[in-house]
Amino acid sequence: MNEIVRIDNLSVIDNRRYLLRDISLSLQLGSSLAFIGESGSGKTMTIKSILGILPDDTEVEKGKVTLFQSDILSISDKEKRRLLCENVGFVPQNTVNYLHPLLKISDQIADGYTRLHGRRSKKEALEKARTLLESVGISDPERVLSSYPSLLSGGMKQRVNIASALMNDPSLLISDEPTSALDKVVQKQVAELYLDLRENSGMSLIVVSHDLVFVKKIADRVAVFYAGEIVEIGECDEIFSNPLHPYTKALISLSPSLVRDKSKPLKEIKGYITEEDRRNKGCPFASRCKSARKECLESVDVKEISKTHYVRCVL
Amino acid sequence: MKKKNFSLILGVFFVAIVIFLFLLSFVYLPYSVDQMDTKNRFSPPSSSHLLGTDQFGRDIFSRILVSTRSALAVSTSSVLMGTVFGLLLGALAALSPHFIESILMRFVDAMMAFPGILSAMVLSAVLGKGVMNASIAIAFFMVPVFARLSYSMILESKKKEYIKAAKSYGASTPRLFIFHMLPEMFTRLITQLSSSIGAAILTESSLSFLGLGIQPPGASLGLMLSEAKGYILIQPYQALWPGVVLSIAVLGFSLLGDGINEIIKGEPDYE
Amino acid sequence: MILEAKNITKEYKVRGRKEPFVALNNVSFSLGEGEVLGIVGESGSGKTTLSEIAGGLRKPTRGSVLFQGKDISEMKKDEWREYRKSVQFIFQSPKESMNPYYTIRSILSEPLTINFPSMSKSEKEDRIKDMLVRVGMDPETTLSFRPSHFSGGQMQRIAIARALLLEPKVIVCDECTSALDVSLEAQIINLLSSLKKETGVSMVFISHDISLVRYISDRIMVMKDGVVVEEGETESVMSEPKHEYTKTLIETSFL
Repeated sequence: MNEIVRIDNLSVIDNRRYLLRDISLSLQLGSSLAFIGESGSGKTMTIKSILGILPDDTEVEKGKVTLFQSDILSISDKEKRRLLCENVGFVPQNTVNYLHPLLKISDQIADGYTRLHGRRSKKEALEKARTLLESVGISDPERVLSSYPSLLSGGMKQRVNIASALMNDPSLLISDEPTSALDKVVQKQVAELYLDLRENSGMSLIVVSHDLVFVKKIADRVAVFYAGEIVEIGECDEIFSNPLHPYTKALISLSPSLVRDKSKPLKEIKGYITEEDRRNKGCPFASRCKSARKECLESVDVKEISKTHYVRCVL
Repeated sequence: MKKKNFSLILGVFFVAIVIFLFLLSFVYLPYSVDQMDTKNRFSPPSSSHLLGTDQFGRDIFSRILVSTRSALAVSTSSVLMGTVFGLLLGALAALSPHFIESILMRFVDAMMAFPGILSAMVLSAVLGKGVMNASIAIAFFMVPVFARLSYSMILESKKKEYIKAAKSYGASTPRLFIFHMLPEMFTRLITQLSSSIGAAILTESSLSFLGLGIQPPGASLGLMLSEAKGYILIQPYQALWPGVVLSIAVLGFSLLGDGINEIIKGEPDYE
Repeated sequence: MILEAKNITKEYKVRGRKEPFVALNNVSFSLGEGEVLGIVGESGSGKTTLSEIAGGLRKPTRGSVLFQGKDISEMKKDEWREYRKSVQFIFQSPKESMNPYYTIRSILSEPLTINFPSMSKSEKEDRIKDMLVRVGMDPETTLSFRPSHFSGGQMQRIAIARALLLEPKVIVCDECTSALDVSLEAQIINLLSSLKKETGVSMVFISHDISLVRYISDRIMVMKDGVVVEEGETESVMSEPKHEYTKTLIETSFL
C-alpha cells in the first residue's frame, strides 16, 4: 500500500491530437520522481491529470490515474478537493502570478489549512505559516506575512508558494518547474531548499525541471517525456549513466557547461516535434532520430530493461 | 469534459426572436401604428388583434413590431457612432504624448461620470426630440465606454513584442494602429458591441418612456410602457407585451456578448 | 564604431513618490563593426531598457545614442529611416513577436513594404523565400500559415529571417533563446553565429545566462540595478572577474 501515485496507460486528447499517449508510471511513498523533456512534451499535462485538473476541452481517451488509492478522474469534486487538501501540495509553473495580488500573504497562505481544520484555527494556521516560512529560508516571516505580493521579489514569492504548499503537511509535493521563472542566483537557493526538503522531510516529490543537474541531485526516478509519451523511465543512475533511448542520450549530451569551445558549433538536436509526429502511431522521435529504422514507424512497444528501467524504442 | 456555453445558446435564441420580429415588421404588419379603432378600445387578444388593442384601439401587435424596428435601428446606429468616435478618441489618447493623453482621458472620465441616462436626457432636451437626436444622445454616452476599451487595449498591445518589432522596422503609428492593433481589438470589440446594443435599447426605451425619444403617435417600447402604465388596472397585459419584448431584447444582447466572450477566452495554452 | 550609447540615464516617475525610479544610471557602451557585445544581468537590471534605447524604440531621459557617429535625436528623416532599418531586434518570446492574425507571408513582407515601397511583389516573394531557406525553414510549408502553426524554435527562426530581411548592420537579441528548450537554444545560437559569419553583422546579445553570453560574445558587459558593474573582453572577465556580482553570476551559472 505504499504506492501513492499510479498512472495506467493514460491517453489524453483534445479535438486535434494526443496530448498524452499511453502514459504509465508509479510513485512509492517517500521517493522522488522527476519529469524531464522539452516544453509541450506532456509533463505539465501529466501533473494536471494526477491532480485531476485537466482542462475543459480535453478528454481522457483511456487509462486510469490513482492518487492515494482513489480514482482521481472519476471521484466527485468535493472528494477530490478533500483528497488533494489532505495529501498533496502543489507549486505551479507560473509562480509569479500564483498569489492573489490584492490580498496580504497572511490572508491567503492559510486558505488550505483553514479549509481542512475549520475557521477557528486561523491563528494556529498563521503560527504554522511563520514556522514554515522560516524553514524555507525567510528570515523575517512577520514582514512577509503582512506584505502584498507585489512587494515581494520573485524568489520570495516562490518561497511563499512552497511554504503554502506545505501548510497541510502533504505527503506528496508536486512542483512544476519550481525554478525556471527565477533568476539564476535565486534558482540556486530554491534548488537548495528542495534538496533540503528531500533530505529532511521524508515527503514524496514529483518535480518537473529542465535543469538536469538539479534533477540528478534530487530524483530517485526520472521519466523522460517526448511529444506526449514517456520514452524512457528508470532510476536516476540508470537514466544518466546508461541512457538507452536516442532522445535521452541527445538530451543529456546537451547539458550546458561553462566552458564551451567557441570555434565549434554547440551540440544540437536537429529538427522539431511536428504535428505529424504526434498523430502517427510510430515513435514520435523517429523523424529526428539518427538511428531510426523502418520499424520505428510502426507502433513501438515498451521494453523492460530491468525491473526499474523501461524504454519505448526498437533499439 | 466540455462545458456548454449556455449564455451563447440563450443569447442567440433571444436575439433571434428580436430579429424575427424586426424582419416580420417589414413583411407582415396587420395595422398601421396609428390606425385607431375607437369602438374596439382595450379589446383582449383575438383573431383580428393578436395581442389586443390599447386605449385608442390601436393594434398592440403591430405597435410591438414597429417598436422593435425602431429600437434596433436607434440602438445599432447609436452604438456604431459611439464605437467609431470612442475608438478614435481612445486610440488618439493612447498614442499621443503624455500630456495630451491625460487631457483626453480626463475628458473621457468626466463623460463617464455623468449617469448615461442623465446626459442623454440633457442632450435630447438640447437637440430636440426625435429618433435621430435620441440616437445621438445615446451615442454620446457610448463614447467613453469604447474610448476606455480602445485606450486600455492599445496600452496593452503597445507592450507586445510584435508591436516593438514593427516599430523597429519602421512602421508608422497609424500603420501600427490599423494593421496591428485593430485586428486584436476586434474580438473584444464584438463582445462589447453586443452588450452595448442591449444597453442602448434600454436607454432608448427609457428616453421614450420619459417622453424624450420617439414621439406619439409613433411606436416605441418605452412609449408603449409609458402609455400602458395609466391603464395598468384596466388592462394589465397592455404593459406586459412591450415589457416582455424589451426584456428579451436586452437580455438577449447581453447574453450574446457574454457567450461570445466565453468563446474568445477559449483556447487554453498547454505548458 | 557602429553604435554607441553615451551616458544613458532613464528615469520613470513613480506614482506617489517624489524620487523617480532610475532604470538606467549613466550607462555607456560602444559596438564595433562585426563585433558581438554580450550584456548579462538578471531581470530588472535594465538590460532590455538599454537595448531598446540604443535601438531607438524608447527615448532616454538623459544621454545620447550615436549611430555611425551621428546622434540619433538630431537625425533628418531619411537618416532616421536608414538607422531604423539598420538596427533590428529579435525578442524573447517567439509566440509574441509576431502578430497572430497574419500569415508568415504578410508578416515577412511588411518590413519590405515599408522600407522599399517600390519593390515588386515577386521580388519581395523571392527575397522572403531566400531568407527563409537561409534560416533553415522550407518556404513552401511556411509562408501561408499563421504563427500559431509553428513551434517556438521555428518561430524564432522566422523572427531571425524577418530581422535579416532589411540587411541590418546591428541585430539586438534580447533574451532570444530564454523561452526555448536547451536543444532549440543550441540550434538558434548556431544559426546566429553562422549568419554572423556570413553577413558580418554586429550583435548586441542580451541574456541572463552568462555561459551562453561567453560562448557568443567578443566583449561582455555585466549589469545590475541599472548600472554597469563590469565590462571587458569576454575571456578576461570570465577568467578574472573583478566585481563580486560577476563572481556570483559565474558561480551560480551551475548548481
